[in-house]
Amino acid sequence: MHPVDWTIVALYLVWIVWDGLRMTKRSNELEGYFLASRSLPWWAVGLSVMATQLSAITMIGTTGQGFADGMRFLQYYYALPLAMIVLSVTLVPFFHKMKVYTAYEYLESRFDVKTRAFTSLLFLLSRSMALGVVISAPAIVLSVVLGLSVTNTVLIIALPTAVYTMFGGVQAVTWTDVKQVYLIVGGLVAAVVVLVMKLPSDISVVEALHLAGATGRLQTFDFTFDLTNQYTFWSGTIAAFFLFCSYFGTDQSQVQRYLAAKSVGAARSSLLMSAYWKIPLQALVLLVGVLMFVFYLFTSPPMLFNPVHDEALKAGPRAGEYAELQGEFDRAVTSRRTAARALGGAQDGALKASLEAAFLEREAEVTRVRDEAIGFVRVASGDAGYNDVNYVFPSFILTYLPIGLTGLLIAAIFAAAMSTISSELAALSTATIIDFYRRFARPDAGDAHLLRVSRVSTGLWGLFASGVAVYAAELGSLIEVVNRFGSFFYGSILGVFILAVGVPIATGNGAFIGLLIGMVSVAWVASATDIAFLWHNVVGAVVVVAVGLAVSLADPTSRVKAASR
Amino acid sequence: MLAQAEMTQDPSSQRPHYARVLVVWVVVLLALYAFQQYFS
Repeated sequence: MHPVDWTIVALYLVWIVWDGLRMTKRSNELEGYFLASRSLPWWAVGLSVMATQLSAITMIGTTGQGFADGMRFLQYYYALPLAMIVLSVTLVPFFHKMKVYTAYEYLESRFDVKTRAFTSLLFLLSRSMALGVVISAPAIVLSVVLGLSVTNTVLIIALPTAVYTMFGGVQAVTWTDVKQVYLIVGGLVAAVVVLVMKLPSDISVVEALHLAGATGRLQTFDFTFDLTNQYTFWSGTIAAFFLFCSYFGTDQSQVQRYLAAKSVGAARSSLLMSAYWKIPLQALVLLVGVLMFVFYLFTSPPMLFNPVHDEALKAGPRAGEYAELQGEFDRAVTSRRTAARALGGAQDGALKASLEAAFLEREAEVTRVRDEAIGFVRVASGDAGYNDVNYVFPSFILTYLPIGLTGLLIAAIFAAAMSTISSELAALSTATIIDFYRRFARPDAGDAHLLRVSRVSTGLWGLFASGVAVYAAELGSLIEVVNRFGSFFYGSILGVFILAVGVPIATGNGAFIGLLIGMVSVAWVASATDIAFLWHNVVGAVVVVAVGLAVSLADPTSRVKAASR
Repeated sequence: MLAQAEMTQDPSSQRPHYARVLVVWVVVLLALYAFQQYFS
């Protein structure tokens, strides 16, 4: 990367830490630190909510997904506006009225302490490990393309974020998120403009999109009802509705954002901002990937986008076979380019149909050879899950963007990582201090003491997540187990909140037993069937509500107590 | 346009416009479907 680009990245890092640390003076008591004294405007909270979801995995992985698979992933988000409306009507007013710090705190006032502690503990376990992945996934890719070690990249991402979150609290998280989301969206729009400008002069944008459409990459609706496929209209509207209700309604990293809003109305408006903008924003991310696919129809792509693997294979024991494959790839790419040009200029009719068939045949050949090359990497590295598409966008940025814009886009990837990490750190620290330390260890502690401990807790979670990120490769199976465990709990915890808010006769024992059986049911469905992950959320929520209701009805004494609360 | 108007006003004291969210949602999905059909 050019020194000018490095300077831009460095300036971004310094500026964002300074901007976050400026908020320290507004975070001098516990409510200021964790909830910004419930004073934030709706638009800042709304942008922060969106920034938290726009992680570096979105920037790197989702653009790669758009390149390789197209826009069908967009269906995943179709239910989000509906979930936002339901949450605005139901949970948001409850949380605000109760003046809670964490979503789980509400469960104690509604049910009992064991339900609160258990759900909060599950959140801490799953989120802390997931945070390690949120840091390590982009760090691994960025370390390769920037020529840094994984440890240094993890530290460049996590350390500044931990510092400003530790001192500035939720004020710092929110106001840095606002700037970061502008940088991310600006970077994505700039990438789209550059990609359009780099199309050959004889191919218009409409023709380019027709080429992508011919390969099925612009498919945004699949009405097949298939429980094993999570990228269908039905999964995206029914099953994902449960996931989004759970994520935005019960996950502390999201709930904490809108608890910091200055009123119920501001909290609702912040959620509705995502309802308006999330689908278009996700379409923009995927469109960057689709346009990169079109770009590489006319510009020779590397066979492998990860330069380290490419060089290692060229110098490795299978160098001869790899060189042969490279020759095959070059011929397939040239042949595809000719077919794409012919199809791009074709008029409708029988000729166009035959040109399209020829183009698709060449495209399938390029994909086949690339898959074979990826197979080489999997054998050589022993990483059976290796996915080269994560390197497509960073490789494009470093190879084809002009000096200055390259630095801006790399800074945008850093921003995407940091905006997610800061919110997660704040949420982990809040749950630790409010749901455990203040509740069990020091219920009589003063504000000043709790603030000090909270800052230490944020810093320690930052260190822990960085450690998980650095050792992610070694911890692979453990992280997978914990994340899988976390996924069992997503739909189930939604079931607990449905019982809390919507079922007046539900008891603490009913909710707790329902939660346990819900998680076991999801674990069984996940291991014994091919049902896609999104539907697990429906299973969890439905089982918890059904079991919770049954247990509550069978326990009249507790029921009377619950109803009187 | 609707979303831009939503961003520039402070709606925290107003009643939330759920019907408007639903209308924009349907329009966005229809636009995406038309996009898919036109280019495929």
